[in-house]
Amino acid sequence: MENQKPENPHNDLKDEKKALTSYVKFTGVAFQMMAIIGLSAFIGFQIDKYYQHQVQWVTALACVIGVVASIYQTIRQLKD
Amino acid sequence: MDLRHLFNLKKSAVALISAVLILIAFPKVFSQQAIPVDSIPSTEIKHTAGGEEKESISQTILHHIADSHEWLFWGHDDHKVSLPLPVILVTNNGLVTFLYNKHDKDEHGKTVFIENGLRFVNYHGKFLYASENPNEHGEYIEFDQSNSVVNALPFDISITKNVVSLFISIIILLIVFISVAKAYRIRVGKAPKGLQSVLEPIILFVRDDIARPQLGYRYAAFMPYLLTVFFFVWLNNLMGLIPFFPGGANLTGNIAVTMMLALCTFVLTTINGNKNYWGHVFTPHVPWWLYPLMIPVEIIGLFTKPIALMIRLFANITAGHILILSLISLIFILKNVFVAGIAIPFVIFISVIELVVGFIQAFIFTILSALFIGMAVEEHAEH
Repeated sequence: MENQKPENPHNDLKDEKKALTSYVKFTGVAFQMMAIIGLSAFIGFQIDKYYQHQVQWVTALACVIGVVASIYQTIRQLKD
Repeated sequence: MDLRHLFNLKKSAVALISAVLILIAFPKVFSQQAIPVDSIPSTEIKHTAGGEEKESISQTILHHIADSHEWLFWGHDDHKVSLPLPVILVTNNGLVTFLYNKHDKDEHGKTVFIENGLRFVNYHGKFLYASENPNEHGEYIEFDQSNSVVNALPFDISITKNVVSLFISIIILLIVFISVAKAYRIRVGKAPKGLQSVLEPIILFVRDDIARPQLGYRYAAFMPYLLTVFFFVWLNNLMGLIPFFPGGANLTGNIAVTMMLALCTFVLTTINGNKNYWGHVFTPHVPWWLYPLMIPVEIIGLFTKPIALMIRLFANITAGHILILSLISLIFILKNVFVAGIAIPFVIFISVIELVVGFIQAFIFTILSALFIGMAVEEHAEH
C-alpha cells in the first residue's frame, strides 16, 4: 500500500492487457493437465498391451508420471 | 419503429415473471391434462416408452451436431426435405461416387446395394462393406464381443455437410477480404468506407491486442496466419448458430477441424522455435540426473498445448449446440406445449450468449496461437 504508484491511465491499460493474457493462458491449464495425463496413460496402456502384461503396471506408473508432469508443467507456466 | 418502451413496461415484466412462476409451480396440472385416462393404469409400459423417447431425443441431438451426407431442412424419414450431398468412397475397385439420396432409404444396414461390383450397406448414415450374411436383426453388419462394428470401411472423402459449410465460409471470407483489400488499394490514404470500416477496427484489434503484445516486433510475419484463424473461427462459430440452410453445420464443433487448426499452430511453433525454445525442451533447468524423466515430460508438453487448443474450441462449441438443442427438446421430453414458454426464452438467451462465446473462442484461439508462437520465438528466457 505504501509504495503505490501514481495513477497512470496508460499503465492501467497495459496491466489490464497483461491480466487478460494471463487469464486466457490459465484457462487452458485444466485442458493441458488433462491432455498430459491422458497422453501418458495412453502410452502406458499401449506398452502394456504390446507386452501383454497381466498386471497393467506400466499404465499405473505412466498415470503417476503424467500427474507429476502436469503439476510440473503448471508450475513452470506460473513462473514464466 | 421504437420498441424500447415494451421492455421498460413494469406490467409486462411482472406478467412474464408470474407466468413463468405459475408454470414452474404447477407443471403437473398442465401435464396431466395431456395424458388420456385409459393410459394411467399401464404405468410400466409408459415408463419404458418414456425411456426410449429420451434415448431417441439424445440420439437426435447427437445426430444434429454430427457430420452428415445430407443437409436436412425439415421433416424426417419419408417426409424429409434435404439437400443430398455427393458421397465419394475410395475402394480397391477405384472411386465409388453417388448422391446420398440414391441409397438413403434404409439407414439400418438391412439393404445391400452394389456399386462398382462391391457390396455396401448404409449403417446410420455411414457406408460400410456389407457382410456375407445378415445377423439375427437382419442387418448385414458384424459385431465383436464389445458390440463394436467389425465391418471394413471404405476410405470416405465425401463432400459432407461440414465440407460444404467449410467451402461456403471460405467463399464468404474470400469475397469479403478481396473486396476490402481492393478498397485499400483504390482508396489509398482516404478514410475507410463500407465493409472496410467494419473490418478495419477488428483487424487492428487482432494486431494491437493479440499479435503485438505476444510477438513483439516480429508480429508482422505472423499476422496473415492470426487474422485467417481469427476470422475463420469467428465466421464458422456464427454460421453454426444459424438454424437454417447456409448455417447450422457445427464446423468448429468438429474435432477434426479444430485438430487441423491446432496442427497449423503446432507446425508454426515447431518451425519457428529458436535455440532457447529447444534448449528448454532438451536441457531443462533441473539437476542432470532428472533428465531421463524431464525430457520426455517436456516433449509431451510440446504436444499438450495444441491438444488443449483443439479440445477447448471443440468442447465449447459442441457444448453450446447441445445446450440449445436440449432446451428445445425439453418441450418434447415433458410433452407439454406450455414448457415452450420457459424453454424458448431460455433458448434465445443462450443463443445470445453463444454469439458472444463465438467471438470469445475465436479470440482465445488466436491469442493462444500468438502466445505459443511468441514463446517459441522469444529471444531470451526470463528466469
